[in-house]
Amino acid sequence: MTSDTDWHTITIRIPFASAKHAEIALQAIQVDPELQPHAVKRTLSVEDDVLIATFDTLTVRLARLTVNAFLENVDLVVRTLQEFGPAAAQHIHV
Amino acid sequence: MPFPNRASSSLNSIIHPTDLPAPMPGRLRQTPLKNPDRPYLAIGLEGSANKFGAGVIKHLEDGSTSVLSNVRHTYITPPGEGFQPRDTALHHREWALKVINECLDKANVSMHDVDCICFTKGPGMGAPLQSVALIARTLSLLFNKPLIGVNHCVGHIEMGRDVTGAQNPVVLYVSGGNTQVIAYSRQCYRIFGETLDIAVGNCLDRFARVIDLSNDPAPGYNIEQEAKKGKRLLPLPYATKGMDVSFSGILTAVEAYTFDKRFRKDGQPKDANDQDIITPADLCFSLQETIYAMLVEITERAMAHIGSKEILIVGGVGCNERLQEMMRIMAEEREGKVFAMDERFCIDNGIMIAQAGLLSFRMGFETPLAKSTTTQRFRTDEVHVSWRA
Amino acid sequence: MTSASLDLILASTLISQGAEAKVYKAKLSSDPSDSEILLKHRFRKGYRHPTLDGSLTRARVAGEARALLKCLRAGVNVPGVRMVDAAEGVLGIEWIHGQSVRKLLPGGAGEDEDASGDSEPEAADALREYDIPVDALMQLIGQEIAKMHLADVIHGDLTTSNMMLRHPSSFKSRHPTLSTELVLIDFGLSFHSSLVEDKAVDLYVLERAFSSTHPDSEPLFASVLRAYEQRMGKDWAAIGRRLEDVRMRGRKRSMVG
Repeated sequence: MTSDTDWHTITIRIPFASAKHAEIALQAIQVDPELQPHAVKRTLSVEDDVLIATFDTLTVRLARLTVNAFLENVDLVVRTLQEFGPAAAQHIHV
Repeated sequence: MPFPNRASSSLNSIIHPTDLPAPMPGRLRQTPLKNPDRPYLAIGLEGSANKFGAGVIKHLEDGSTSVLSNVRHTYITPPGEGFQPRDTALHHREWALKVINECLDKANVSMHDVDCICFTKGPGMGAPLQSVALIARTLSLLFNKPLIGVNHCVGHIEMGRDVTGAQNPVVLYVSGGNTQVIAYSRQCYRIFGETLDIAVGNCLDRFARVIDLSNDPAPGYNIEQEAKKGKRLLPLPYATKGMDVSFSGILTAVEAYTFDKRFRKDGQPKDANDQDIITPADLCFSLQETIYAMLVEITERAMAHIGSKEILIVGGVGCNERLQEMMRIMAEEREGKVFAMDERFCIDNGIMIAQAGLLSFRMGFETPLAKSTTTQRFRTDEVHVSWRA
Repeated sequence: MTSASLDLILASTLISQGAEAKVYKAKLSSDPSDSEILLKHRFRKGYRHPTLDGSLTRARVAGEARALLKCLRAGVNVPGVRMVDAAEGVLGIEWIHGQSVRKLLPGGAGEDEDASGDSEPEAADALREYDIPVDALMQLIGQEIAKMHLADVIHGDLTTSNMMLRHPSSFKSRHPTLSTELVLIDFGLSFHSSLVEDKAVDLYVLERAFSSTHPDSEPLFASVLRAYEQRMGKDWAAIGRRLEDVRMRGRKRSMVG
């Protein structure tokens, strides 16, 4: 059971192929703010090649929705990186 | 089945560069846009409604443009259903990477070659817009390319001007989400008239659902085909107010005919004596004749008001041939000219986002990563059209 | 051509072709003392289905004549009605000697935005000819619209093109300080309504026409509204609130691309 003053905390650690990719994911996802900032707090950071996301939410339902949306975004970024990462790495000139 | 049964989801590659008309003739007025010192390339990503599109455009040193590729994939819902934001976003997430890859292959360029990555900032549906922006950001960071956020409506207008060569037209922008009469003035696309309630495409889509028409390839297309068989013009409200229009009353009225005791859903008389009947085709015909007459009327009023002889029709409803025909008749009566496009450019596409984005990029505009959010509401007249005199 | 109205048109001079109608200068009789009239012919629109076109034309000519008569009875400055032939789409009204307000305001003179550079002095010169300051002109606009709305007539197409200043030479004032009067014209889209919504939309249409035709005209329109408010009295509060709503709806409209 939850009360309004209890915050739920969820931490997710997502390994990427490289530190650069983890940093790209962080920057791309960071741009869109959480829709209910009063009820959902999001902290994103990168340690080596791991993206670490921490969510503090007021309700279990919000935790589920927020994490779900976040993972969908991560999935899209990961697939984009997989698809275009090799091409991007091919020409690292200058 | 009276409707053409097209494959419901096919990757359709849209254009070959040789299809394009000659480049726009030189403008008389001094334009702030200088011819580029080298060729510029941009990729555009569009997904504000139920189509995901990607295209690559090239601007050449002589000031001409060339469409290198324009690929689109449409999310088609079953008859009777509209597209919901979440499902539409899922469609874009599933198809975007395939479409982008195909668009680069067709253009025979690599992401390294483009000067900027353009995406639709708005207006449109929130979740689909956000999904496409996320891909654009990831690509921008991965390839270290600048981002350009583009107003969807301005994309339609700029692509229309480029494809048709229209110089300074009155623009009728008609789609599932927008109905506007626009004209350029002082670096702004001013809205002279618009819908006071729902968009014309929304009115058509919703009526298609009422009579269970297929959404493939598009509900409006199927209404157009049905209307060709209609014979009876039924009275509907005709709602123009100045240069504005209203469609919700018409939708209610045309729906009401489906409860009329003369209405035959299958379009067939019950027996030889069943003469006084109303068919779905009659309703499609009456709906089209009424709403397109209203659109032509407000366009004509805007032309008279600003003294223009050119009309450019853009947006998904703009490929309706009856609308184009009516507009042509009006233009001939005024000794004017209509510029219209086929579905490659009328219906939402990525190339228009690339075109409008590259124009602003060449004027020095860039969207910083932190500002690359999307917005459901973004009026056409909010954009500073820096590239026009 | 068979009807008397069309014969009359054949004998008249075409003045302009607007979006709705061709406008002619005509005389009802050959008597030289007989004053000129303006003939407005709603010609057939080829793009419209004939049935729809016919019923729209009849309804609009009859509606326009009705609205003009209603305004005249209520003391609103509008052209007098001289003849009506709804079936042929012909309406004959008083010829107003004067200039459209659009041409008298900055930005409205040129057909093309190129001309705006030199239109401002032109507009100012023209206003001097009518001996009326811009602010007084705005007040006349607000007052006339208020008088019309108090008579429950909605114009339906309020723009600065649809208002004229009567030329001082043809204006016989009952008021010694006035050299001109504002005349509302083109009631082709007008209708009868007492609804607050319709009056608010009428004002909103004008507001948009101002901002799209005359750059930086916000203070001008504000002055129109002040005069309107004064004349409407107690009716203003509800209309003003609704105007806010209509503006909001306008902003929210472009929701989906």
